[in-house]
Amino acid sequence: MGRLDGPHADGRLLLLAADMLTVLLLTVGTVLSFLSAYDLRTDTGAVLVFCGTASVVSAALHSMSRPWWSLGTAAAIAAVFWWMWEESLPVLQWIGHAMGLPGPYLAWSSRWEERLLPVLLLLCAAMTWLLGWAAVRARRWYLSALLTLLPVLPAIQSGVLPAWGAVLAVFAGWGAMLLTALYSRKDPGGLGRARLLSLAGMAALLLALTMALPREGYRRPQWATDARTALIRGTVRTMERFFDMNEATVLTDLGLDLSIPGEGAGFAAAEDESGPPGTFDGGPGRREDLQSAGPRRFQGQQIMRLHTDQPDPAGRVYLLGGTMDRYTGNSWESREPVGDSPGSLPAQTAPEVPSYTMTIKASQFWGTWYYPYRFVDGGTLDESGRLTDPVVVVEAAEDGPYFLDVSGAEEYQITYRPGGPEDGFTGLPDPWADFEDVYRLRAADRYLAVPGGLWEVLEPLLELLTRQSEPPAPGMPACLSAPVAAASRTAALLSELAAYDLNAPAMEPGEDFVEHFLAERKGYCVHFATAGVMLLRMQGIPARYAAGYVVELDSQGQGRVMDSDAHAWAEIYLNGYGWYPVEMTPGYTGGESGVELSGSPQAPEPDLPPEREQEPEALPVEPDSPEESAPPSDGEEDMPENGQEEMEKEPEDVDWGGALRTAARLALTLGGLGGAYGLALLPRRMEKQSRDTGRSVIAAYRRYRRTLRWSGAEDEELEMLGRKAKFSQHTLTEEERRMAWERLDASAAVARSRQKKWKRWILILLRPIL
Amino acid sequence: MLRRRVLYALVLLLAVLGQILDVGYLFHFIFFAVLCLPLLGLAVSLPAMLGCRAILDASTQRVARGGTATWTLTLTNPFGLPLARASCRVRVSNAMTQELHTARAVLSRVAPEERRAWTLETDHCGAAECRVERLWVCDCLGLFALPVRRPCAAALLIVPLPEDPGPIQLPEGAGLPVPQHRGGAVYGELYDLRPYRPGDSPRMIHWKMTAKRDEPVTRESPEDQRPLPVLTLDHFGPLDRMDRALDRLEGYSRALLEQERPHEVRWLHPVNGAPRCRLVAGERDWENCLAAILADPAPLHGRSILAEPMARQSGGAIYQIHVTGKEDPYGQT
Repeated sequence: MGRLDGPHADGRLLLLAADMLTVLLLTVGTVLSFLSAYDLRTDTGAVLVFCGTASVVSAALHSMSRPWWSLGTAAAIAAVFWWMWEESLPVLQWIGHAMGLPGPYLAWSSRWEERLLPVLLLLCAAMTWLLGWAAVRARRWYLSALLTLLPVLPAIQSGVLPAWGAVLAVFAGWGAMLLTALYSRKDPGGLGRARLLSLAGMAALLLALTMALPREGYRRPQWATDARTALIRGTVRTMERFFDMNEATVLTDLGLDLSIPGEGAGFAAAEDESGPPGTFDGGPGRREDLQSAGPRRFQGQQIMRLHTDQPDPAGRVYLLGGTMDRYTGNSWESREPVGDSPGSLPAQTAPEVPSYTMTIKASQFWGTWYYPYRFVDGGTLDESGRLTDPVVVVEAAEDGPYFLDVSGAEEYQITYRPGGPEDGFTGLPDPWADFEDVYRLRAADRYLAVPGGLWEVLEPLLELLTRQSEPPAPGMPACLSAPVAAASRTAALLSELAAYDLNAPAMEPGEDFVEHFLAERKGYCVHFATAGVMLLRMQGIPARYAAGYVVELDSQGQGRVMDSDAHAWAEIYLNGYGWYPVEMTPGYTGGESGVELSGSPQAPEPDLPPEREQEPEALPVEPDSPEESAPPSDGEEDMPENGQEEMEKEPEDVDWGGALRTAARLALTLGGLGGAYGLALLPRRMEKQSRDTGRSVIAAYRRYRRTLRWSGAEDEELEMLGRKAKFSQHTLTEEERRMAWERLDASAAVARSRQKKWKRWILILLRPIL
Repeated sequence: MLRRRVLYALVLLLAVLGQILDVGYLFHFIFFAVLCLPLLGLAVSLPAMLGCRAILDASTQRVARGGTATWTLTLTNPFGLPLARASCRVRVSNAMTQELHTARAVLSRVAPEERRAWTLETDHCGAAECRVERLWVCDCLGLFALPVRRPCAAALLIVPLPEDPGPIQLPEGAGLPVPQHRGGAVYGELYDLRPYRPGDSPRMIHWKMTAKRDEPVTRESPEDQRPLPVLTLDHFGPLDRMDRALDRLEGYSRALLEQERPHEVRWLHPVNGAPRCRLVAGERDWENCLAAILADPAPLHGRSILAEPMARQSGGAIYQIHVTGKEDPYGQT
C-alpha cells in the first residue's frame, strides 16, 4: 500500500476511508446476520460498537506495509486478549479441554448466555481481521463473500432468512468490491473514488430494489412456479424412464422439497385406501401427517379461481375440502364412510334463505373439490335414509343441471346458501330430521374420541373452560348457542396459550402433536384446529378437523385462491343443524384474508372479548392453572392407545433421514468450497493457456513478482522473458511461454520450501493468485 | 470481455434457477439484483468511459538508426476515476522500408492517468508512423465497451548515422570570391550578363538591362559558374545497403555544408520514376531533404538515377557524386 506520508497521501487516505467503510459494512452485516439467523440474544449495541471499532482498526492495519502489518496484527491480538482475558480464558480452556490438552480447567458455566457476548466479540475480532485481509490486502471480492456467507449458510439452508438490513449491508459490501475488482491499485486515489462511488451506487440499487420488491405479501411469480413444476415433472419423468426409480422420493428424503403443489400437499392417501388416489368425498383412507407440520413455506401458486352470483358478496369465504375424525397423536385420519357425510344438512335448516351459484375453476384437478358452506344438497334420500352425494352442477353439462360426478373435473358449480343458523333457522324438515336423529348418535359416538394420554394433559385446560362463561352469539338459536359459546371460549383460551407463528418447528418423533404445540406455545392453523377439536371433544361437543381454503371475494364476487390461503379449522356438530365451522386460530391473516370466529360467509361478527381483538403479545397465565404450557410428556407412556403400537416400535430409532440430510448438506458445503477453489484456479489456468503468448508470459511474470514477496527464488530468465513480452514487438514462442510458467512454478516451490509448515498451507490456498 | 459475458450469463442462469427452485424472498431479490448489476456497473463507469481521452506521441522527433525511441499512449479522464480495461489496435509503419506492424494492445487496470509505451525498432532508416485504432474502454465489470476517439498519429524519423567521406576535392574556378549571402540571394560583387534561359530564377533577371535590350537578361554570379555538387542516390535496394547509402549521403552533405558549398540531392521516385531534387544550402534544407528521402519507399529494385541525364537547372556545370551503399562507394562522374 505504501506510506501515508508519501506523494500520494491524499489518495491513500481516500482509499483507506473507502476500505474502512467496506469492511464495516461486511463485518456488521455478517455479525447481525449471524445473530438474527440463529436467534442469539445479546447486547447488540456493544457488538455493533465493537465491530465498528474493529473494522476501522482492521482496515488501517491491512493498509500498512508488511513489517508494520505483522507488528500491528500481533499487537491487536494481544490487545484483544488482554482486554477480554477474563472472558476469554474459559473459552481457551474449553478449547483446550475439547482438544484433550492437559491442564487445570475451571468449571464451564452452564449458563451459556453469560459467555455468549465475550465469545461473540472474540469471533467478531477474528472475522473482522479476516474480512479486512480479504477486502483490503488481498482485494478479492469472492474471498469476502465466502467469509460472510459461511457463518449463515446453515441457517439459510434451513429456510431462515437473517435480518434484512444486515443482508443488505453485506450485499452492499460485496457489490462495491465486485465493481472495483478490475481497477488498478497503482493510483489509490482513483481506486478510493471508484470504491466510494460503487458503495453509493450499491446503496441506491439495494434501496430501490427493496422498495420495488416488498417483502410483505411476497409471492413467487407464476412463471417461476410454472417453470419449477415443468422442471420437476421433466426430471422425475426422466429419472423414472431411464433409471427406473422414483427419484422424487429420494430427493424428498434428502430434505429437498421438490413436491409439486397440490399433489400430496393437502390430504395424503393412507396406505389402505382402496379408491383412486386424489379423490376425496369424505370417505375413508384420507390422512394428514402432523409430523411434518413444521415451518410453512408457500410457492405462490394459484389453486383456483371462483365466481359467485351472490349480490354483495365481498368478504371471506371458507371452502371446505375435507374433514377427518380420528386423531392418532401424529396424524389426522378419516374413517368416515362413503356417503355418510351430510354436508347439506345445514342448508336445509334455512329454506327461505336464497341460494346462489358459485363457479369454481381449479388450475388443475387437485384430487378433491372444494365447496362453500351450506351448500345445497339436491340429492334424494334412499330407502335407508342415507343421503346420496351432494348435488353438484357441472358447467355446460349436456344432460341438464343435475350431475353428480365431478371426479377429474377442473370446473364445477356449487349451489349454496350463505350464512349460518344466526341468519335464520327453521329446523330440519322431514325426512332430513329423521336422518339427523340417527346421525347425531353416530356423531356422538365417532367424534368425541380423545386419546387417553392427551386427556390427562388437557384436563387442566378443561377446568379453565368450564369455569369461564361466554355470552351466546347474537342471533344464534338458543338450542344451538351452548356449543357455539363453548367453541368461542375454547378459541379464546388457545389464543392466550399460544401465538400464531408460521415458523413453528415440527414435532419430534414420538411426541404428541397437541402436547408439542402447547409446549412450544406457538403454531398455526393446523395446531390450533387440532388442539381445539380435542378440547371441544373433551367438553362433550362432537368435533372434527376440517381443512380447505379461505378466500377473499371482491365486490364483483370474484376470488383467487392461492396456496397460501390453505387453512384448517374445526367443525362442531349442532344437534338439529349439522356440522358448523368454528375458527380456532387467533388473528388469522392467512393469504389476504382475516378470519372471524364464524366460518360462514357473510356471517355477523361474534362478540369477541376485548382481549381477543388483537393477537396477544404476551401469553397471560392463570395464577391457579396447573401448567400454562404442559411439558411434553414421555411419548412412550402417554401416546394414544391406537397409535401406541406405532410409537413403541423403536423409541431409540436412528433418524436416518436427518443424518442423510446432514451428510448431504455437509457434502454440498465441502463440494461447494472445493468448487469455489477450483473456480478460483480457473483464471490461472486460462492465463497459462492463453492464445496470446505475450500476455501469458506477462501474467506469469506478475505472479512471479508476488512469489518474491513470499521469499520466492529470483529468476533472471523469467524477468528477461517478462521484459521481452512487455516491450518487444516480437511475438513470444510457445517454448518461451512454457519456460516462463515452469520457472514460475519453480520460484513458487522455493517460496513454499522456505516457509514454515502452516504458511505452506496458506501458500497452497493462495495458489490462485501466485 | 467475452469471458466476462459468459461468466455473467452463468451467474444469471444460477439466479434464475434460484428464483425458480426456491420459494423464499432472498432468491427473488438476488435474481433482480443480478439483473440490475450490469446497469449499475455501467452507470458507475460512465463518467470515466465518456471522459477518457487518448494522446499518442513519440519520445523524440528524430532518432538515430540503432537508437532508442518509444511510442507512448496516454489515457486520461478528468474525473480521476480508473478504468477496468482498454483495448486498441496499434499500427506502426515505416514509409521507406514499407514495414507494417499491427498489434492488439490490451490495457488492464487502467489508472486515471495511464501511460503505456512501446519500443520502436530502429534497425533501418525511414519515416516511422504510429497509429492507434479502434480504441475501446470497458466498464468496471467488463461487460460493456464504448469507443473512444482515437488520438492523432505520431511520427518520427529514423535518421542515418553520418559517415565521414573524407576530403572532397571539388573543381573550383580560381580567384572566384566566396559567395555572400544577401537576403536569400547569393551574389558577389562581380557578375556576368547573359541571355535568359528557360528555368532561370526570376530573381536573376537584370531588369534594367532587360528593359534596355527588350529581351530578358540574366545575371550570372561567379558562384553559378562553379560546378554545382550534386549528390545522387538510388532509392532502392536492400535495406542494409540503403542505410549505408544514406549514412554516406549525410556524410557528404554535411561535409559540403561545412565547405559552404550548396549542393543538390537528387534521386528518382522509386514508384513513378519522377526525378526528385532538393537544394541543400543549410542544415534545415538538409533535414527537409532527408525527411523527403525517408518518406519515399525503397523497394528492392528500381531504376538507377545514373541512367537519367544530369543537368543543372540554371545551366552550368555540375559535379555529380553518386552515393551508394556498396563496399566501393565512390563513383564519380
